[in-house]
Amino acid sequence: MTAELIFIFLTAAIINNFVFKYFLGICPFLGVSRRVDMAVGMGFAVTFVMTVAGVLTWIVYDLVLTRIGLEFLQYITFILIIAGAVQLVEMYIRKFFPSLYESFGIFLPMITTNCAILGACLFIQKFEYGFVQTLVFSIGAGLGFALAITIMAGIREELDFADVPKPFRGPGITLLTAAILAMAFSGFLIKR
Amino acid sequence: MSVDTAKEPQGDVVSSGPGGLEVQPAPHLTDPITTRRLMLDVIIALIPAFLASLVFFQWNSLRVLALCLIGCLATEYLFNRVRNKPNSLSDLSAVVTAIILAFSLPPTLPWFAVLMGAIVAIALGKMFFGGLGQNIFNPAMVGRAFLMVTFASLMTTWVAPAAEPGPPVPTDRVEAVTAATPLAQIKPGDPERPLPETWRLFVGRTAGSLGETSVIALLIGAAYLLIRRTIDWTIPFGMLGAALAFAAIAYLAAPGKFANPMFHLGAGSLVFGAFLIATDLVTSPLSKSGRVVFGAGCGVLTMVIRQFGTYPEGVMFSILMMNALAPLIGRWMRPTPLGGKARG
Amino acid sequence: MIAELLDGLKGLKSFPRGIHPPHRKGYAEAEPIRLFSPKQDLLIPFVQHIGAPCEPIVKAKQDVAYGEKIADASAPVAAPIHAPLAGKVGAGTMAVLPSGRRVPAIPLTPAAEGEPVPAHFLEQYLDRNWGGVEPSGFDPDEICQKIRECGVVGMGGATFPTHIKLKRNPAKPIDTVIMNGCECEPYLTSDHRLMLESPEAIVVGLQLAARACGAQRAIVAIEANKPDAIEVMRQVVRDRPGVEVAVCATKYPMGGERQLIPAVLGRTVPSAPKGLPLDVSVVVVNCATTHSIARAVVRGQPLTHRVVTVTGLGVSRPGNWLVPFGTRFSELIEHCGGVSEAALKVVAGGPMMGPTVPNLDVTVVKGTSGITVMTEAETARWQETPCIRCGLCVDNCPLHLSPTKIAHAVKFRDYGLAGAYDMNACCECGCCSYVCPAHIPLAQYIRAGKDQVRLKAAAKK
Repeated sequence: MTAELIFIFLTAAIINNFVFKYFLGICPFLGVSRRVDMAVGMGFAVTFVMTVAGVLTWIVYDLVLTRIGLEFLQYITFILIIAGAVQLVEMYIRKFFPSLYESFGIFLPMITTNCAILGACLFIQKFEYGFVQTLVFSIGAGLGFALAITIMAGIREELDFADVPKPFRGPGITLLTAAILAMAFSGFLIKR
Repeated sequence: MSVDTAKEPQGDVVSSGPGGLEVQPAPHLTDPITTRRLMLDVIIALIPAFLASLVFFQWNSLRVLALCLIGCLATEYLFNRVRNKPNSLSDLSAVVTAIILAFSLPPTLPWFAVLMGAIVAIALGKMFFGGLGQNIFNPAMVGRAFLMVTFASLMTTWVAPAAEPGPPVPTDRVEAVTAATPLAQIKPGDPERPLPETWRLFVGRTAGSLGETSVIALLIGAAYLLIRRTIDWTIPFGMLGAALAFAAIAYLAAPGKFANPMFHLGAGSLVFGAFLIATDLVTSPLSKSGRVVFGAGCGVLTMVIRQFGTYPEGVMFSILMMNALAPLIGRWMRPTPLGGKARG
Repeated sequence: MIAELLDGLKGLKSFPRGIHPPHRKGYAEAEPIRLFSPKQDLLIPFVQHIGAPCEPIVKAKQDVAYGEKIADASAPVAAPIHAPLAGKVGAGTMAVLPSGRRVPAIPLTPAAEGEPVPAHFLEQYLDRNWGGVEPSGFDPDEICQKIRECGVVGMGGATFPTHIKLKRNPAKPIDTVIMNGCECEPYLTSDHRLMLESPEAIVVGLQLAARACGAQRAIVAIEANKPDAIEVMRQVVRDRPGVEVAVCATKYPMGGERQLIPAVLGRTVPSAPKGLPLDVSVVVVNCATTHSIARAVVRGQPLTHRVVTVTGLGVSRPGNWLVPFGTRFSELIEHCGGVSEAALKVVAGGPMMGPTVPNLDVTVVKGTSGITVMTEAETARWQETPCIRCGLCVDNCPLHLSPTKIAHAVKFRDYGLAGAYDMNACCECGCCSYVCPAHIPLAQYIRAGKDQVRLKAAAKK
């Protein structure tokens, strides 16, 4: 059981990294990776939302919707739950980390539309995880995203001083770097 | 600050006073070492491995190396022309990239793949980031990773070294499981075949990439670099130490399942990576302690991929991953000034 | 690391890291000190020290005697200036210091008749009869007062007023005084010759310095590449208890106080700009300064001359000269054979930290330890190439900084980032520029960055 949970965690975080394998969550990945402190903050925010949303959506789907046969309401209820979780996070960050809140700008409420969150919730259903597995998977996926965005932030801080050709500056070189990172992460294939 | 604003560096610090005397800030003495000499040292260190590859893989060795050189040098030259920058080929860094890339490729890779790999290595791996000293990822590894993703089956076709009878052993599996390299033989699911003896791995008469097979030849080159102080002990120590420790622990825990550490030292490109690829100056951290962590990370990740992953060899992926982490390592392991941080 | 172990086995004091530039002291090492008597006017700057500029206390066309005080300042951090020769002063004007700074100055025409300096000046300067002088018989405050009266400042280059450095501070007591006889700068030999030819005065001065600041230990630190000076000092120290000789490994920057103190005493000085040697209860004094302390306190002789090494392949007759302040570089270099055709730059001091002078009208001042005339062969011009993150500068910085990061930040005017990498802790020794394979002027960028930040802070006030 523990081995399986470890496997789920590592798969979600590294082997099938949401950014580098499924190309989900690219919006904040590009937008908030300019500085490492912002990236770490966003990573934790997304992890928190993903965990809360993953668990809540599992509860709602497995314990409510399937019982009353309303599975087709899956998307609407998931999005509602995600939006609520993001509101929670927003309020928390605004209260306790006001400067971080300012620097996030539009990207914090945009976590609502972050395809990685909805993607995680839907993956959970696709893989038919139980409760504990859902929890582990959500945390793993969130931390994997946090890892990806922090790595990118570290690289972009270095690239600030680089003589990147004009057409590539900004999003261009960021996406090219993400491509190389995706190639690198593809080495973590595990056959089971 | 807007994304497109380029930070322009300040100008020259030399001026001329009246009477023809040069006015410059101190110091006025410098060590005569140059970047070019560092690169030349690496090229010289790779000569023994090149001679070994000539013996084992003959014509293929020359072919792949020549194509890599053409691809890398031409790409860098054209890029500099297009960007109106001075020609930088004389710093020999493109030559080093070409040789390392060539040595990490299978001998039978077709010419178009070799060329594409060389071009992508320099273009994507170096020039897009701004040229020498500004790339984050090892350019040769970027090229190889690109080839791995694009031509997976071509990149996993190996030949037996010369003086061994038999045609090249093709792969007939969908996944990238190589059929004849020693590392492939220890992957679960492969047909049972006796592993080569350890001494054979060190001499190098086995299947594998062009330059990686002969550990002895590589160690001669590594010794040269260490004596000349072109590389220091930190990354090889970290990488080999961590990898062998990992292998030893796994071997002691489950001898039937995992190969012994000496096998891992001799097989694949662990030694090649530890002394010649991971030690690339541009893409590794600045401080000594950062470099040890970098090397250790490379070692651990290599072994994780070798022992638990699908791919038989993990050196390339682990080096790219640690290259990605190198800026963070540099940031979080800033050396503390002697006497504490400057206050006031 | 291995080098330091070997040094330790040989009994040499050392610190980790450090570089080994060619020391090139052979040009002037064997030249005994000789007196230089300028024929031309002197141009005496009123700022030859850190602190408030001096104001003249003589008028134009006034005749002054040798050693007469000609300028002083009432501010606490200052030291008076005395006439180096007997003669007539002119009207106030401006002069350019070797560092390039423009300051007020006064010309002095040497007297046409009579002796500009007292008779037997050189013999008296290098006098070896200091037996019978008991430093413990002097009162500490009296020592500091005499030091100030005679205008003694730090002659290693910093020119900080010595009486302030040695003044007792109950909150930060001193237990050790180190005399820096290392002279780690290549080419320079003035301190070496002074130790060989007048060691007793140096030791007496060191003991007086210890008495003034309350130190119990006095240490003479000399690099191992001066075995004759070590031998002489050991003999002198035998007759003067309480003083020891410490032999240091030959490396640069052994003479920097943040490297010398860890080497000799094993104590680490807290980082600049706030941290100072007195935070670890140590005072470091230059060799020539201790010599001047003895002359000032015991014999009341003001600081008017100093030993200057004129050296480098750009002069044909290198030598060590006892030169009055205010002497123009042009006259002194002419006396040593003139600047050769092949000369590229004239450095005031040594090649690692000395500034190049803009022209030869600049004058010798209290901090001028040497004039190094360098040809292209000695100081080849290099093209700056991109940084390849080799880390040699990080590995060799004696203060464990990251010079390439700081220099890069300064290049792009990101002074906040430069500060985050502890730009202000840099002691500007130049080791980073020396080792860089890309020949990036790292120390120069860092110095420029520090200046920028200083200017901005001053502008804000």
